[in-house]
Amino acid sequence: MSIYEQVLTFIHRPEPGAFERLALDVFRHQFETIAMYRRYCEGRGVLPGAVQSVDEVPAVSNVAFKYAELAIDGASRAADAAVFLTSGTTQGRERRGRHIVARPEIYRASAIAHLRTMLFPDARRMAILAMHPTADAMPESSLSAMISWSIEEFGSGTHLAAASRERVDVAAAIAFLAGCEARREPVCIMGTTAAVAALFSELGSSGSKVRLAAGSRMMDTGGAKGQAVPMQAIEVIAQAGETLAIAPAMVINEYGMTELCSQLYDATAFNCAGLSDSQERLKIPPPWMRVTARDPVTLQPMADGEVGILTFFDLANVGSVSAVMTEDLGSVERGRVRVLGRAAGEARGCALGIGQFSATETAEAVR
Amino acid sequence: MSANAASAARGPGTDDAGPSAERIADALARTFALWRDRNCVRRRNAIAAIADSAGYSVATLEHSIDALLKPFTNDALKSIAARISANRLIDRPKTVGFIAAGNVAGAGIHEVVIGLIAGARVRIKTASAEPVFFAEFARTLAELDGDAGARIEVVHWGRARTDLTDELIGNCERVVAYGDDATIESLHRPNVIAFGSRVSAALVALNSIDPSRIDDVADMLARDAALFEQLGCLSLHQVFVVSPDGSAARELATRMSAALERIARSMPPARIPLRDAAEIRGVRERARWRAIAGEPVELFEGRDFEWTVVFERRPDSFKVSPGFRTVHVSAVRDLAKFRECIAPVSAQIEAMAVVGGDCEIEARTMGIPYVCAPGEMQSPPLDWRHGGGEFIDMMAGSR
Repeated sequence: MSIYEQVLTFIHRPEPGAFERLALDVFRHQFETIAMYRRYCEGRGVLPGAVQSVDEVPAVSNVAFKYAELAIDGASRAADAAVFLTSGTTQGRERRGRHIVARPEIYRASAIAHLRTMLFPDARRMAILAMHPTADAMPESSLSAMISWSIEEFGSGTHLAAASRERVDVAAAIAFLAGCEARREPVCIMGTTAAVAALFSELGSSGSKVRLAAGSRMMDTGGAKGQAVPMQAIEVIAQAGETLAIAPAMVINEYGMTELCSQLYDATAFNCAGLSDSQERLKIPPPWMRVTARDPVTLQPMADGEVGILTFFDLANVGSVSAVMTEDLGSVERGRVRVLGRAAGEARGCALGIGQFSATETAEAVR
Repeated sequence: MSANAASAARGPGTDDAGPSAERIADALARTFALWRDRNCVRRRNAIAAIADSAGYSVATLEHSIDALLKPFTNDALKSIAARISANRLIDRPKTVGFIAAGNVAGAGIHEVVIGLIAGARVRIKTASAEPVFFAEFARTLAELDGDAGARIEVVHWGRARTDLTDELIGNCERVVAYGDDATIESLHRPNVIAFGSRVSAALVALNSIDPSRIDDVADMLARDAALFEQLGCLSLHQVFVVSPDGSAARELATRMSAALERIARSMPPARIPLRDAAEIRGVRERARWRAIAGEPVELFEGRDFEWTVVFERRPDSFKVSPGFRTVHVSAVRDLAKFRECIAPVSAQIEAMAVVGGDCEIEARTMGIPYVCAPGEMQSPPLDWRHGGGEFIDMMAGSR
């Protein structure tokens, strides 16, 4: 069985005890087949033979995807490979990261399997409102791919993509939701936090409210990106309830990035038994992803609950690089992840800080 | 000087006459002389306390405070007193409040000193991150000259007590505020003079200097980056080297790396807060991957984040450093390219170290408030036109 088939099998039937061994096999495969990654590992003095655990696998910074082709040799020329681009910056000064996915079916399997656990645990098909372009309109967007896969996998046949590259069509979105309301048909709204914030804003300013059917849900992602005044997660939950009658537990934030084929979702009472609405939201990765918070200096994993740079080992990235270090801070508590957001230095008084100068460079990798 | 003469020197309209400008200058000169001595108990205690709370090494802080205090000589203080006396400004404020920033110990001392010599009562609200320096300095002044010491009051409250900050602003004719742009924005009032976020840089034309001086230049620039852990508005972020083929710039980057390594032994680096360390990690990884991808970038890195130098052969912009001895060294083919790179921050440059060629002329043409030699970035003169000179012009008049 090829390494790709092994990963696919793991995604379909996760065996936690087999993760470590498979992860090391994936690392060896990537070391052997990705020239840039091999050069990076050698530069750090790490060879596969010396790596005994997944925590020792050298993680590449997500910025590496901007500069290097981090995919198995020849993947970018393969006919069935997909290339996803990070969304860039508001001023376009920075180059965009490229994630070449040699085997998109593994990406799809990963995305769908964890969506099924976290957003569709009730196995219910329903109407889907995409507040982001679907893959046909924006093939380079990994979020678009995921939304299109969701429509195929979880949709009832009623769906609308209420966004183009240029804009979000809030009026069309509201009309679609009103139709679902009239039919008492549950709907799943998927899109960026900025897009759902625009929807809330329009509903709020027009004074109209849509009372969606029970079982309706929302998945937002991207956080502050694209918003002049960032909407906090707690506000998204409150607004979804107030303007759309979506229950708090059904409002589920996703943490994902173009450079990773797997995503994390809020644990809520809807997808995790025993949780209540009042509990702090932590994010759950799929069983084929290991998350650690790392000391930024030593890159060693921090103790449970301690804050560090969030670093992922994603088996679904088998065709590119699985060990990816983000620029976000967070902590991991018994496998669940608290995301604190992009690292920005302490307040600098009269000295200019990076964050003040390069606000356009923030959060560019998080889609 | 008699009391009457002192009053006259301060000009008409003074109804809160304290000691004369000359007497204040003399008291300050004696205070600075004491504080330049590393055995001064108050200085020693202040440095120990600041080092402990901010995570600095005592050695780094000793060198940093030495650099800060260096310009406050007897002659410089007398000179500014003479200037103040000569310029009989009638609308000089008699009460000046200061809202200090916590990033650098002693930041604002220039304005405090000028305010005192100009006869103002001075009230300093210190930052939570650094409440020690001015309190200890004021105590020394009061011990040496009670009347001079009575002109200065050091207070502290937390950022949340906006009522007390409002009261300070309301009770002072003028208030000088230091801080990041958000802080400054929150303090915006007609009587507030703001010193917002600034950066500093260096411009070097190595080809026009004796090769034997290159190590000196590298040492001094490394020192400029290490003092105050690169957290002040005078701290060096980026060194532009006029170097058409980039070789001289790379040479300087290499030598600065060696200098920073040596300095790490004599001035051990600070404990780096997590978020700052994460930013440094980001700078390093970006440079590392650009280099791996074949871009004309080279990363020099000290162990455990002691220092970082990123050499860039073809820069396209200014690079703000995360601090803690993280420096960009960039080759520019000519001054036109330098101007292009620095354009986004040209209005925010506070100091520039210059070496060789037309670098000094270039910096002065840009109107940078403090142009100096390498190694002097943390030691601007007493008449430094900080932030463009609004405060010194108001208090001391023109030269």
